[in-house]
Amino acid sequence: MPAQNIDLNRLFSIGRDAVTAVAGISEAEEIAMGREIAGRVLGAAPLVNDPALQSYVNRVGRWIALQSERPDLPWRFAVIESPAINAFAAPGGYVLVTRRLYEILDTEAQLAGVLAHEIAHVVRRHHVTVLQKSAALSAGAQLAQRDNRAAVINNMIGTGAEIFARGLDKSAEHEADAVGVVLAARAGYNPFGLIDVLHKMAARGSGDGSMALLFKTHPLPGDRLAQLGELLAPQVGRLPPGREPTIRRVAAGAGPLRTPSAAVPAPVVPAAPAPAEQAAPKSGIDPVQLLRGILGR
Amino acid sequence: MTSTIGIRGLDEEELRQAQFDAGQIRQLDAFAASRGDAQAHAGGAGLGAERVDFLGSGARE
Repeated sequence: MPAQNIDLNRLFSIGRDAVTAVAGISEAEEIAMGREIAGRVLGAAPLVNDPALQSYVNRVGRWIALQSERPDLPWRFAVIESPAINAFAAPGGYVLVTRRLYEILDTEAQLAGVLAHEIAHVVRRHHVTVLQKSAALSAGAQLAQRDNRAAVINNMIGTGAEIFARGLDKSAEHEADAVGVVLAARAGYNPFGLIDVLHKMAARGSGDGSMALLFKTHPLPGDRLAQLGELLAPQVGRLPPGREPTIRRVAAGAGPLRTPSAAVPAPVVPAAPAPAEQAAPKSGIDPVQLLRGILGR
Repeated sequence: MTSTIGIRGLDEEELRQAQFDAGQIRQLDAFAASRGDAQAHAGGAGLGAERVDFLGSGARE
C-alpha cells in the first residue's frame, strides 16, 4: 500500500542517517569538535593569568603525550580558574586542569599522573565514543521532526560541553587510570603520582563540595585505587622508580586571564592559526558543518 | 558550589550554559609546546623515556 511504503521508505532513510551519525569521525573532525568543547569550558572558567605556568603545563603534558600512541595531536594543556577540584579532556588533545586541583599537587609526578589520565581519555577516544552515541540518540529522537536539522545540530553542540557534567562510564575512567599510570611511567615520572592524587581525593571525602562534580562523574577514589592496585600488583616490581621533579607553583596574585572576546558567542569557524608544529585546529573546519556530517547531512 | 568573588566554579549548569570564548582559545594556542619544547623540559628535569608495558585491561597494543 502506498501510504505504508512511504512511511517505510522514510523510516529507512532516517535509519541511514542515524547509522551515518555514529560512523567514524576523522581526526580532523575530532580536533575541531574538541576545540569547540574546550572553548566552551574556557568560556565558563578562563585560563589562569600566569603565562609561565601555562607554558610549563604544556611542556609537561606534551612530554607525556609523546609517550602515547597519538604523540602528534595538537595537544593543548591549561590551568583554568575554578574552585572545583577537577580536570577535563576534550577530543583531539585538549586537557584542562582546574586551579584548585593544581594547587593540591605536591610534585610534578602528581601533575603528570593527572595529565596522563586525561591524555588517556583523548588517546582512547572515550569522549568521541560518547558523542557518537549521543548523535545516534539525537537522530533517533528527531524521527518526528526530521526537517528540523538545526535543532538536532544545536543539541549536539550543547552535548559537547554537557558531556563533562554527565561524565563517561566507569570502565572508561578505570581504563584512563591504568593507561595514565603507564604513560607517566614511560615519561620517566614516579608511576605512583596519580595514586597519590587519588589518595588526596579519598582523604577529602565526598563531603568536600569542591569535588561534587568529580565524584558525580567518576568512580569513587577508593574504587579507583582498588582497581589500580589489582592491575599493578603483578607488574609493580617491573615499573621503573621514576623521578619526582619539583612542581611549578601558581604565581602569587594571578587571577583569571581576561581576553577581549570574553563575551563573544561561538564563532562558526574555529579561530587562530596555531604555532607551527601544532597547526592544530584545521582551519576551515566548521563545527556546524562537522556536526551535520556526523548526523549524515 | 562555593565560589570566590570573580572566580566562577564549574558546576553542571555552568557547563551546560557555557559559551565558546574565541579569545581564550587563542591564548591557549599561544601556550602550546612543541615536541622540542617538551623534550627540552624533560632533559632539564632529568626525565628520560622508559619502556613500560600497559597494565592488564589497559593493554590494547
